Amino acid sequence: MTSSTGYRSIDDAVLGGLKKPDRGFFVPAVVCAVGVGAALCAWIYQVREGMGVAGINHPVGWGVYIANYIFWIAVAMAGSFVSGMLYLVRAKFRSAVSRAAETMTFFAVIAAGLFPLIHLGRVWVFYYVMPYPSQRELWPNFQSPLFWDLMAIGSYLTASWIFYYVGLVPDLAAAADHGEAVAAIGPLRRSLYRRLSLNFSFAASQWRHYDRSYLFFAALVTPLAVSIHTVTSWIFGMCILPGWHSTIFAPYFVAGAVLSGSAMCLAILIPLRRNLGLTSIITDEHIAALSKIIAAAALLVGYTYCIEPFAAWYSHDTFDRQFAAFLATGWVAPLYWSLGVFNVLIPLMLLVSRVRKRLGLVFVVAILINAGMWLERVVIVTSATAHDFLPQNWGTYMPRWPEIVITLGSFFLVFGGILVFAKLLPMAAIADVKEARTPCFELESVPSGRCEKIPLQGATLTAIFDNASSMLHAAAAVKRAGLRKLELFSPFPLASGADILGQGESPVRYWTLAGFLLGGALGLALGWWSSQVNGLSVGGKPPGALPGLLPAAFEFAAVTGVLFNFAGLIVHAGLYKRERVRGYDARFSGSAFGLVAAGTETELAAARAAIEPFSREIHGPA
Amino acid sequence: MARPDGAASNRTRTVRIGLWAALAALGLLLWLRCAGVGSSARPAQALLVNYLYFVPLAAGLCAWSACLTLSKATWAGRLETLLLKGPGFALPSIIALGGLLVLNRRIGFGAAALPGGIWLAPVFLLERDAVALILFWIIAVVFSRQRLSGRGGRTAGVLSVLYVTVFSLVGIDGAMSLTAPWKSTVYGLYFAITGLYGAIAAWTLLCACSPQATKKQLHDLGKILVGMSLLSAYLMASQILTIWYVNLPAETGFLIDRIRTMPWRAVTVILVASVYLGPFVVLLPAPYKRNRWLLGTVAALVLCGLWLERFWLVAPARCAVPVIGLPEIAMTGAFLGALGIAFELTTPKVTDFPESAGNLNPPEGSGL
Repeated sequence: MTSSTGYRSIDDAVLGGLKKPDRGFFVPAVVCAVGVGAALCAWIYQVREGMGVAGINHPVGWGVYIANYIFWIAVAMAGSFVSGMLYLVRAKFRSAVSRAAETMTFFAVIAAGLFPLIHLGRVWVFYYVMPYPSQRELWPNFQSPLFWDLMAIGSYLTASWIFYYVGLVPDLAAAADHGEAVAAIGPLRRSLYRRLSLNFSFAASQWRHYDRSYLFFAALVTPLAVSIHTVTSWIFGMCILPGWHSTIFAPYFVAGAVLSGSAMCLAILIPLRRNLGLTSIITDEHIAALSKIIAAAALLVGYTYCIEPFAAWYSHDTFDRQFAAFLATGWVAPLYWSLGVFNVLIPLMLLVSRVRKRLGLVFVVAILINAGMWLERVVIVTSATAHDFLPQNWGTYMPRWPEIVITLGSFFLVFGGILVFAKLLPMAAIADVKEARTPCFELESVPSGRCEKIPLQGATLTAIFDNASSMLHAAAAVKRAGLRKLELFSPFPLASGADILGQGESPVRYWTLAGFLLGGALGLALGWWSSQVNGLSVGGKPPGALPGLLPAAFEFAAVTGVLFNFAGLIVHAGLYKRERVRGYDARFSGSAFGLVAAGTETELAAARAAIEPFSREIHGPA
Repeated sequence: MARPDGAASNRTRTVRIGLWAALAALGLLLWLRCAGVGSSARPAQALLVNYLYFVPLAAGLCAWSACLTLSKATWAGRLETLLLKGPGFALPSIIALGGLLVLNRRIGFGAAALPGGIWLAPVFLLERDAVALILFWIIAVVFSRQRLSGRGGRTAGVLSVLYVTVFSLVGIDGAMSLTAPWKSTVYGLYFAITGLYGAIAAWTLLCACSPQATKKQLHDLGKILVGMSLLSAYLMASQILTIWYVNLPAETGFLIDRIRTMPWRAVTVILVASVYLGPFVVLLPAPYKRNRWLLGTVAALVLCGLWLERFWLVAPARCAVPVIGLPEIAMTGAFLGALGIAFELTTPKVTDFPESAGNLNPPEGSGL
């Protein structure tokens, strides 16, 4: 796609979803609100009465609350993983599905973060786990997987929300410019969009930093996403209980998260694209591509399902063998055997192209996968404690009504949140979709030399173009004519635009590297120092043992890298300024490309002559 | 009628085959001499190490081609033909497995540690690996033929699944069983993934030496190499950190043998530098990935490091001190020679690659 009509149709489709909501929105929104309200009441009841109202009791101390936590963390992980990872590998289908996936992450991480608090019972003492000295000068144990998990949630929540927001910036600017025409958005909301977009101007000098910064966000959020579920798996993997202690838990949890998160993404995308009129943006091919990811993840999950009992049999370990037998024949057996059906066999149906083409069937498969993955978490969490080393200690578990209501409430919270955001924010990344639908091309020769920014005063010449190719050829011609005060505008990043301006690599990379190293050093130093304050040897690990400090240090490093990256973007792209870049035209956020040149009258006359073969609309001195 | 430059090319190829054959023959003779003297376990161990290194590597080449097919990747273009030479190593790999069957008593698979563990009986263990390996190579040959005619989508899926399954089994039987009843559930997956890592390093090295590889293609290969180094490091860290943290006496032997005590600890440090984190650090900047010499050097270092990693997996179970001498070098030379011959003899040559392969050639104006 290279025509302005095509770009305009993307704006119309995506921004059209922001129109005033109708009954189709309010009915499910009210249902979700009621569901969340009921869950809140159940939680208040549990807090007032105590944890005895829940089904968790000796020997099963962890029940559906922890299972819900893992389930939602997995969904949250997959959203950023799908978006970040696909960006890193330059998968074009990412552009259409990334926003929905990130929105899912936004709310899933909230739901996930709530469950440890709900499980805590006395929720008001949650701050005990924060890394600060309490009145007893007792620091949390930096070598504990529970502390790693806290750091992982905090880092991931921060990083994924910033990643989400940065991706929204150009689209919010477009919504501010075109929202009135396309979706009858009022002035107050457009003003809010413009403020939230930080006056982003679609200038090549900004895209240069934005593009690089976004790459680093993706490069940091992806390992963070992997780390959060890895660390979650280690809460179990680093116990001695059969069924929990397993070295494959980290990749197993990550694969499971990709499976359930991608399936949840599909379950959201299929109705969303229909209700918001996004069928031309989120096409059947995008659904098919996500389906293939699900099938691949299901194969890996199936591998881990097989390797656990295989390793128990191979090693002849008494406890592992009796636990494998318990899973296969004990009270948990119906759930255990259903996992293979829900999480391996049913997802593998998506390998069949005829299944992938029937969206109703894909939707059902996605729902069944999520049901299966939720059951899997329940099996993992409850079965090991119910069947440990001592037969006298064996027991069962059954959730009670507060747990069920709160669990359902978390689904209403996530779906309701996505529903509201779908009406407030563009549900497809407009700039990314435009970029993905534009064929790549490079100019045969780019004139050398570095261009300067447009000065705030003095005469300028503005040219409007229908397509990127004309603008780039005109810019090269202007530069050959000797003009050096030049700015280009495009609705999406153009690598050739940055080449023509000759401004080199963005310095944002130094900010990110500095933040990453500083955060890592601080995390290590804090962990080591606090362990010396306590001076405790826990589980045979001496205070300050390096391997135990590394996970928390990594979380510190990644989140500081993200924050510094964001700061670098704001500073270098000039997003702290109150005005847009000089020469900006609202059409640049939609379907037009622009060139603004500054100089003396003679220089501008030469520039006009150079541009005229490429543009029919030129403003400025004749 | 053959063109004169074609005749020269054939002569060069014959010379290369001769050199590889000489290397293989010399290595084999020296190794046989070592194996014939006394009943030392080292020659058998050298055979096992090289079997565990070269076979997953050669098979991994086909698996990468299958991955490219499944993901409809077009960036590799005709460089992919190098991957399709992998099945040429099928026969040497089966011969090596036969050698292991003959020398199985010298290796000492874990049957003695688990009385009644019939699944660890060396002959049964190697025979099932042979069946799995033969099945893999048959599918690999079928896939190569289909791929050359522009098909192979379904076979690619089967081959990918089969690779992970077969080489998990080969890793568990060939390396993990040496320390039975010690077990690690991630071991098989790690072994299969490092086999793929070796394959991508070998492909990268070949491409770096080939003038046909463009900078863009080298950049993409560099990215995959970095990704595989991180994935391998992640899987090994998942194993080591879990065992270290839980601190169960039945499990910590793996770490104590390799990480806690010198001189194996020094080998571990070399592995971290050459296999797990080194490639990530060195190849992080984009221009370095596009630099043919640097990328080729890193790929070569990774290949050497991965050989050491196989040695590190196998040898500490038997020897307190890492010794690399004539048996190891001779057997490595023999395997390298066999791989070289397999590569030279396996068709297709790059120029024979059919245009009908379709998606191997990037579309005009796609920027790929």
